[in-house]
Amino acid sequence: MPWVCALLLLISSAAGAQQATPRLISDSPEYCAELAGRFAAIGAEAPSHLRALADEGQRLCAEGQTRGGIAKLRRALKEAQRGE
Amino acid sequence: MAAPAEEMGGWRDIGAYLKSAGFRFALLFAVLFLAAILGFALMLWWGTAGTLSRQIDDSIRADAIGLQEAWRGGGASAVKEAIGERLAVDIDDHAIYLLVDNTGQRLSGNLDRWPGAADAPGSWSADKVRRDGVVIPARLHHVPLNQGHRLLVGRDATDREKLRALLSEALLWSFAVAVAFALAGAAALRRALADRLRAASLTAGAIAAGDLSRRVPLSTQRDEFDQLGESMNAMLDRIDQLMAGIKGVSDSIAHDLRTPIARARMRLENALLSAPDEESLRAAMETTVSDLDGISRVFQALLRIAEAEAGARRAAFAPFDLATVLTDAAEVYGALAEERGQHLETNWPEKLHMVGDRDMVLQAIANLLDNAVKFTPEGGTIRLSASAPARGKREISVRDEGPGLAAEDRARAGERFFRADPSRALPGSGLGLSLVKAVAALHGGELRLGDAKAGAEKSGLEAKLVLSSRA
Repeated sequence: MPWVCALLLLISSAAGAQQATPRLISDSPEYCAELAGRFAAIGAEAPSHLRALADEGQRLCAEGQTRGGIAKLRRALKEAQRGE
Repeated sequence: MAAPAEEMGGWRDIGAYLKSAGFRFALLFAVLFLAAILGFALMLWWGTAGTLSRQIDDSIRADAIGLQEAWRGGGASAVKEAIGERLAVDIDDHAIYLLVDNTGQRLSGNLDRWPGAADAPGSWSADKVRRDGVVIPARLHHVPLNQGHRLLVGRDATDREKLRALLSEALLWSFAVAVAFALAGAAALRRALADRLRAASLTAGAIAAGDLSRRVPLSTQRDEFDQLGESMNAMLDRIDQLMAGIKGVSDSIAHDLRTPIARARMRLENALLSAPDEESLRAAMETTVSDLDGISRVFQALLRIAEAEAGARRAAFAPFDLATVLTDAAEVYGALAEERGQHLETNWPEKLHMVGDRDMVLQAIANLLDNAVKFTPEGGTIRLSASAPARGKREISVRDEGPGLAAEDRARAGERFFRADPSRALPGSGLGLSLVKAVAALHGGELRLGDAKAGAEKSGLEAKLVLSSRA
């Protein structure tokens, strides 16, 4: 039984360490929504292909593919800024 | 009981191997080879992973400066807006930002909490962050702001860590291969050295065992080992020549002195047994004393030659006037030549300063004049001249009208006890020119023999003694 206790202690300490590690939060649906809002603010005059790109990003986010959606929204924003 | 002795022998062999020049050269080669590989690896690391690290740090630094300016311009809200804008266009998704207030409350950024490793203001740290549940490496920089606010700027360092891991693995394998090559190269070098030295070593061993005829075999490579072999062979030839010379001199001494000693002994014995009166006995003893004086002169000449060849008298070199020495010699041998109906012609400058051994030079000139008087026929002319053909050079020439010397005899004329056929009937020991040659060598010069009148029936002999005044 002592080895079971040791194993549990090890697992709990590892879990604690994981909890203590800071986490990146820029891949959440909330952030996806924030980026969509940013694009809406500047994207009204953006070319159609950029609007399509942003729409595609929002769609991916809605389907749960948050990272992919965020990447597309970011690309659309960057291109739109460059166009300005 | 033999085991400890064998063990000691084994250790001794290992010790000798480690001390050997071949092993040390091989070790030096291996160390240099590995040092070169290490240098190459460091340069490669510095040029790739190092460059990537520096680029990451430069990017963070530039970002931090921009955000500090935003802070100065508009405070926390300006920084929040700047961070939002930067994150919004971060296509690579590498940027990390966190702005917290004086209570530690997160105001902006994409990190949920402040990492422990970046507590110190202004610090740079390599820490871990989680992305989608996966722990990834990050490079973080703590930028202190006023009013207790803190800003963290960082970058995802996954690419850098992957590159480092790849490089480390590649370099580790390369180093392992390099070590193998270094060891193989060192072993080959040691073997090559041992092979090249074996011939010289075997020759030296054979010579030490008494076989003086052995020489170091030379290869066609003409490298340093061949140069060493050539030097050894030249040294062995010289030793051979000297030993042959010593043997020849010993034989000559035994041969040339046996006759006069035997004659003196016989004369004394005859006188002792059959002298009719005291006067006959005295006459026999006087003749014997004269014979013994001749033997003594031979030994004296041998000693002077040995003295000149050893160069011991060089310490006693002093400046003197060669013209005076020539005058003294001409006075003695001029009278002798006159007695024999010969004529001595002289020609030299009024002063001929030189540095050397005056007595030895006088003895050499006397020997040359003695030969000239001996071989010049009655009514003939002997010419004694001297000059300074170059700075520090003195040339003394003695020309006679004798039969001269054949070319093969000239080559041997300086050997001890050598006498050419025409001179065997004349008195002499065969040591005169040996001494002249030794005196020339003592003064850094040489003795040149040639025809006095080339092409004539009696070509005569010109003995030219060249001396260096600065020897």
